[in-house]
Amino acid sequence: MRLSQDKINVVARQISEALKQYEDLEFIEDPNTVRQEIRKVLTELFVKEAAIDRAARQKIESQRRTILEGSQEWDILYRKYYNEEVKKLGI
Amino acid sequence: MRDRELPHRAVLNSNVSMLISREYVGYLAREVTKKLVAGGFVATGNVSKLTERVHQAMLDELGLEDRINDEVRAILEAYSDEMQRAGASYQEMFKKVKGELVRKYKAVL
Repeated sequence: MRLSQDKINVVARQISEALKQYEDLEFIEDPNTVRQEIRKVLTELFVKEAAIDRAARQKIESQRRTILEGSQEWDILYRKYYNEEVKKLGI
Repeated sequence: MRDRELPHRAVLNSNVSMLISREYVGYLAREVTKKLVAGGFVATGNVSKLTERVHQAMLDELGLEDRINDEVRAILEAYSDEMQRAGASYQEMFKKVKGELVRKYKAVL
């Protein structure tokens, strides 16, 4: 995963706080259970995202010539291949 | 929410680069909301509005490192003459100032 578990925990906590502040929302489960579910869903989805990232990078590495990561060309190609992978998933 | 002042919050349509693409963050927000509602964890009369709130919360947190990086660059630019006179390395100063801002904002990157 490209995000650490610590970061995922923080994101889950921030989402949980946003839910608490949303007027048109009822907690059916307690907030802690909801936060754990958010964390679980995010972890699964970030694993999926890591596969998208890897696929985009592999496409760049499979180019005939070497394209250095961090170069403008690399960034453009990465974004292009990343978005192609995202579209394949129907996202 | 946080008890510390953070770099200004991300705007839904701003051109901020993030580790995770904006499109994927949108997808994450929709999926999280869908699973919470369908799973019976929460109930709401307006799923789109809820998704927007989740999306904003995610953008705020996931865009944090970019906002900190922007602040570091602005600080280093303001001190560029002094840095040049002192012969300070940009990369080293970037790392040092960034570390200080991460501590200041108690950020998790």
